[in-house]
Amino acid sequence: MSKKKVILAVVLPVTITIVFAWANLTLPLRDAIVVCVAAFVGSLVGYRWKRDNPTFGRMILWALVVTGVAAAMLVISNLLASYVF
Amino acid sequence: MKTRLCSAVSLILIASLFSFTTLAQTNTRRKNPLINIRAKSQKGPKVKEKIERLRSSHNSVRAAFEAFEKRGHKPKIDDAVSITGNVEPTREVAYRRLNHASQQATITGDGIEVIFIAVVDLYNEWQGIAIANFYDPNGTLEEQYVADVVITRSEYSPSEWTARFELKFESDGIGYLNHRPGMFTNFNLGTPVLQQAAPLSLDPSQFASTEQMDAYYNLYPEQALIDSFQGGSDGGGGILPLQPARFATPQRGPGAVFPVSPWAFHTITGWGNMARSVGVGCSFVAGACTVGVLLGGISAAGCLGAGCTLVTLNAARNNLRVVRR
Repeated sequence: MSKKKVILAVVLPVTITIVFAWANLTLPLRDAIVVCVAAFVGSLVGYRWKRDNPTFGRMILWALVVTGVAAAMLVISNLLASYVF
Repeated sequence: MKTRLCSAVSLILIASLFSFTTLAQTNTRRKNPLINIRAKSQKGPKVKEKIERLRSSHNSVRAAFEAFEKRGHKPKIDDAVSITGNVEPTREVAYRRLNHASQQATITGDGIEVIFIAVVDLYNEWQGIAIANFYDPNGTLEEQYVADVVITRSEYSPSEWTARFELKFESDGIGYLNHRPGMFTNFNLGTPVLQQAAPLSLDPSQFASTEQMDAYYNLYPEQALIDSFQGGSDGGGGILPLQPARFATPQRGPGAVFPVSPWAFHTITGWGNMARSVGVGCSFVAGACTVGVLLGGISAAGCLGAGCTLVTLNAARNNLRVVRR
């Protein structure tokens, strides 16, 4: 994994988070759960499409990582929208 | 070790999201203000009898009826509706009373009775008499509101009604016009809005004094804008700035013929909110998917397709509603 990709993977969600927080787009709990479930299912499907014979454990791991990023974006944007902007 | 660390960090982030949003929602939750109000509606001979009794004993009610009857329109007393409601004081209210704190304006007396008597009842327009009686805890009449009113339905939001004319009658039987910019100033009661040239502009002669006129225009400067509409060469005011509603829509009387398709009277609302939810949700999913793609693990199409489909379905379920036109 190149350094450039890692930087992009950090910069992009942070930018989206700040833009959403600046626009005061916070999500209530129910919508937040749906977004996380959507990210989880989406990453499961995306991982299955990319790999030929993925193991169940690795699929779940990738889905958890992606969902974790989505959750972090939501938390940070909610906090920023509430306290900063 | 690396795998376990990734899993642990992800789980912590997800858990923190749910705890944060739960806390945020708990703080903003409010009590239902209608929880202590008991209301019921009534119709028929009892209501008719009550209206007749009020008419014979109150000058204001008598004058409100005469305002329609002298123009040849008969109020539909048989179809009148009475709505009564009682407010049961809660512990919180009682506590506030003990502490001499200010009360909510909506809790006036112990009960209220509102009677609606229709004269003109169209799909987008209602004209009639409104009588509101406010009672104290002993059931004694404390205050009364009697008015001839004209209300129209909003063209854009069918559940939204706006007062266009309000002639309030005092206990001596004299009527006073309650006016705000955009309301009619000289309305022929009993005649539908589109069949009369009711002006929205105010004439200086309609004020008791110049001081009163100045005070009104200071309070509602937008009235000057409405007055300027009257200055056309053909003379006379009009109802142009109002654009009340689609009065050509068929009325819903007992004899009305309904078309076959239910969509003639129904429509789906909430598209704007749905689009907003989809936009926000898909953007978050896209952000998460991009991270997965950049890290080389997942396919963008699969992730976005599945994620956005879920978000869209949920947004449609939460926001779209079938409502009457």
